[in-house]
Amino acid sequence: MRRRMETARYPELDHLVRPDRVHGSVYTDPALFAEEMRSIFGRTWVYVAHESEIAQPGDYRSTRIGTQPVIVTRDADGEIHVLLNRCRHRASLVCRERSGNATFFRCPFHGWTYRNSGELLGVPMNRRYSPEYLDKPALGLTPVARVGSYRGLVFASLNPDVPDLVEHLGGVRQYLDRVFLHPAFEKTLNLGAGRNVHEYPANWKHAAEGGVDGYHAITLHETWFKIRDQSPDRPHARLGSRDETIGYSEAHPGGHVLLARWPSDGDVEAFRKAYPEYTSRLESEHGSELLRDFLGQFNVLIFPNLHITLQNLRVITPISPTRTQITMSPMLIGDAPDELNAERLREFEEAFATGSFIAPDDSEAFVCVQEGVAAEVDPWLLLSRGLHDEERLPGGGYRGKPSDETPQRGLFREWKRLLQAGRAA
Amino acid sequence: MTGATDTRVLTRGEAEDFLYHEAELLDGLQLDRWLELFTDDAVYWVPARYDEADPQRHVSLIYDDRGRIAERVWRLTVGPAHAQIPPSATRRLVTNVRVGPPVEDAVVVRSNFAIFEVRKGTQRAFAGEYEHRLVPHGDGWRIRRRTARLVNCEAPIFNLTFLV
Repeated sequence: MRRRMETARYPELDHLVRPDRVHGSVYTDPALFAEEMRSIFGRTWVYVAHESEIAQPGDYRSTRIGTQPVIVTRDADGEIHVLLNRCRHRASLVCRERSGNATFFRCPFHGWTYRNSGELLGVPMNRRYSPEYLDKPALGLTPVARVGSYRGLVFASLNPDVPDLVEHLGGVRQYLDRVFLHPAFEKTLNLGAGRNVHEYPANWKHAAEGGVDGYHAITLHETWFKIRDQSPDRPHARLGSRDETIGYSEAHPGGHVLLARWPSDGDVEAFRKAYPEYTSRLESEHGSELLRDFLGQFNVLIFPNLHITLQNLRVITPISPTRTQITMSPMLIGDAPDELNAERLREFEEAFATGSFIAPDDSEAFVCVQEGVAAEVDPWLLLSRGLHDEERLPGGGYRGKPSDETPQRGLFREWKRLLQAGRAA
Repeated sequence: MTGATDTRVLTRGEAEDFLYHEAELLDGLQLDRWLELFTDDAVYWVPARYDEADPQRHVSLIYDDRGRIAERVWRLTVGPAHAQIPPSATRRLVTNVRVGPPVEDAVVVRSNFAIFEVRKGTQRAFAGEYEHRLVPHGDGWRIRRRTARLVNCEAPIFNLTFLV
């Protein structure tokens, strides 16, 4: 009885998310945001770190699963742990740095000290605890329920019953394997170039949707296309244009969605000319198809918080219904020529940095939507583009044209499914 | 372009005049005239890390060569750069001006800055240190390298599309 009364406060999910539209309150309602944190970020796999960030024993990196602070550590034996960043005594953060190397974490408040694998090592002045209140083996930093690593991407889940990570990645895994985490790059790929941290005053889902939106670029990023076309000899991110014939968009079960566009033969040839030794090594070791994938435009969202897009890795961190951070890092290839990696930095700075020609315009659009949904007389956002002409994929996914809203529909299907599961649990 | 003119001395007063003039052009959105202050081989750099940043190994917030500075100005003056509709209004204070020893044939001028930026009803503050590497040009000076080290460069930033 009590549960029914509690859920009655929530709007019906079938009302909010329909096949061709979503209700604006999904971006504004604080109760829905709290529910997202519990039922999405609290129940599915969430990306937390790349292994290159915690390469050595003792390396750690603090981050969040949704709004919950965690520490990703590599212990003395090389094993990865994801621990809640919360002292078991009075809940203070035990780690305040973004990253570093430490064998233990000492709470700044009363000095409880934990090994980097989580065990409680020491409690100052512990004689004033009777033994039944200081069961040290039971008072380590709380580990998250599940930790998984896929080709260097470290995921964690607060839900012990989450499906196996590889199964969870499902149909989108082939794009990771073929493009970003291909064996040619997997071992040396790193985030050593650092990052830009964006923050915008709007909901996190705008970024999740926007990163796989093949419809907006020609309008919102018009100036970037003009600049690209005026300076073909300079490095530019590999964004496709209006051509609907050379790629597609897809939505896979689990909410993982993507855009895929391939380069022209001329693009591939130009790259071969620019990097003859590197490309001939890649092609002799891995075949000639690799270059076509390597030079393509792939925007992949691993639901809910990881974009791997155009040679960079973006992590979406929701702060509140109307505040979001995005950490964007270019991915460098350790054994590629220095000039190729430097070119990636320049492409990133032109397109995705906080002072760049693309990403700040995206943030501006997200804020415009956030301000627009306050006009709620007609509360709907339309996601109907290409709905009449979607191809069904084996395994339960959908495929549309590059500019279709197939990814956004897929994202909201999973959003609704997880919230429904959370309400039923 | 610069010639064997390393005997030219820049006094602190002259350096201040140059920086104040530049600040006036930026805050006054006279960006085509600002662009003329740069040499053809100029670099405009806003690092993304506070210490030990190396633009060849680390990603930056901005790392423009002369061509990209011109593209940036084109976006802001012709555009449309949507993140600057409506445009930011800025006013900057440039202080603590120090003229240091030359690097190669450039005079190195360091200064502190505070920029107040207002856009769509919200004011934001940015502070940091400029480093201008100036080379003689005619009767005046041109910028070969302009670095703006923001104290918040590692913190989340919403919109850095106005000129810092």
